Amino acid sequence: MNIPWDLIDWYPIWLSIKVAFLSAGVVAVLALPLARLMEKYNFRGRDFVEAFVTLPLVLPPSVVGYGLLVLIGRRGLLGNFLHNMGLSLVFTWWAVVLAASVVAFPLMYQSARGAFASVNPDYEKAARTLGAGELAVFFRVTLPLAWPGILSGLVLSFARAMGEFGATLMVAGNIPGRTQTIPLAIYFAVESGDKLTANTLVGIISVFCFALILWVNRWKQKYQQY
Amino acid sequence: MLKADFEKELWHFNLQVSFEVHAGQVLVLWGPSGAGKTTVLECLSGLKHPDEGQISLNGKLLFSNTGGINLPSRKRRVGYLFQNYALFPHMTVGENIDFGRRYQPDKDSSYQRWWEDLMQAFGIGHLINRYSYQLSGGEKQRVALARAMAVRPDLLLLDEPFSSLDHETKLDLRRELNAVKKTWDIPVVLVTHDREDADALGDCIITIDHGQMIQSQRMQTANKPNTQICNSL
Repeated sequence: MNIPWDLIDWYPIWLSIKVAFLSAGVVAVLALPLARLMEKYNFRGRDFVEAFVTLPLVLPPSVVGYGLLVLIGRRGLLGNFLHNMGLSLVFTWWAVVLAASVVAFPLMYQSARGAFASVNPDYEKAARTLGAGELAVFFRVTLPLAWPGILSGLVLSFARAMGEFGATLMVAGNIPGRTQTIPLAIYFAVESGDKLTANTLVGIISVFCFALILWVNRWKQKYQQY
Repeated sequence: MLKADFEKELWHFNLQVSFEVHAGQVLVLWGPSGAGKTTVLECLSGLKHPDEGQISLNGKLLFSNTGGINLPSRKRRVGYLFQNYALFPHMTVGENIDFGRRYQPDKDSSYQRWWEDLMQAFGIGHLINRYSYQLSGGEKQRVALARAMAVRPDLLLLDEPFSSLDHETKLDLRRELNAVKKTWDIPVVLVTHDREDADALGDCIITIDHGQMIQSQRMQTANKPNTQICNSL
């Protein structure tokens, strides 16, 4: 079959990859310290924080999207503030990153939480008696031992961010060349009968995700030999 | 000399101990599981803190509730052998033993010599590139002891050091430990539920049950018979 490559819009692929990487990064930076704190300290209201950060995992994406609209929409709490500063998030690709990060956050958080909990506290105690301060204990002992679980979380949130559809559509819309990600492009290509674009994008995203999971699983096997 | 006199409230009972151990002496805390023995070691090493009392090592206060002193573990210079050895699984034997080197105030040539002496004393030089999952029980024990000693501690704490070893290895290691403890000349506190271990290694044995010291016994074989040894106060 001769595929007319020049008829395909490549922007969604580029945007999806960019959004997935950025979201995974944002989510890791926020979820790792939170997971560590929640694992280590018991405080009043911990259950509430736990339930709140897990919420995006169980709520329908359209509800998350609506919540975000209420927050960053022009008359929203944060949106109003940004609007007064001459900024607007809705219907920009930053809104795509925001939506993807919010839905991916619980996956990273839960994986990291489990990973930290699985580290035998005796290793951390041993490190302390050998002279390590708390930062050194974390970076030399806890993090390397929790790494396989954290990596799983990273991959899950990357994949979730890449596949995000509902919340993205609500806060960023479907603007080709600006906020149209692969899942949105596929949906609207199918709707308009553009089989070429739909097939190509489905093929690309499937192969990419398959390769990613394969690589991570192999790497984990190698890393977890002990 | 180690002096300890403290109390800590635990889940089921109140832990209350009071003893002193001289350099070169081994104090054994003997008693059933759950008697509070490991908690004593954790308090001595700074991993937990007592509610009341004092701990001093060579005249320096490590803990004092009235003085508001509670030195963190990393500043206590305490070697701690954990019950399951707690060898870092992501590091080789060499990296495990070297873990504390960068926190040592003196990284000079004397440290290097100390390090080499340790490898020789424990006969583990050939293992340095292995990971802990590639070691036998006896080898793990030697490596863990070498790691604890690598920070040049002023006090050595041993938590059930022989509990997961077969009988032969246990006898070997007991002999070794008896041989090397004389050269270190620091106080040693050993926790065990095995009476044989207690008799074989202790200069003084304190029986602990439900957090209370119910009996203390000095051994005839104490290697400094004329000096005051590991008194329970």
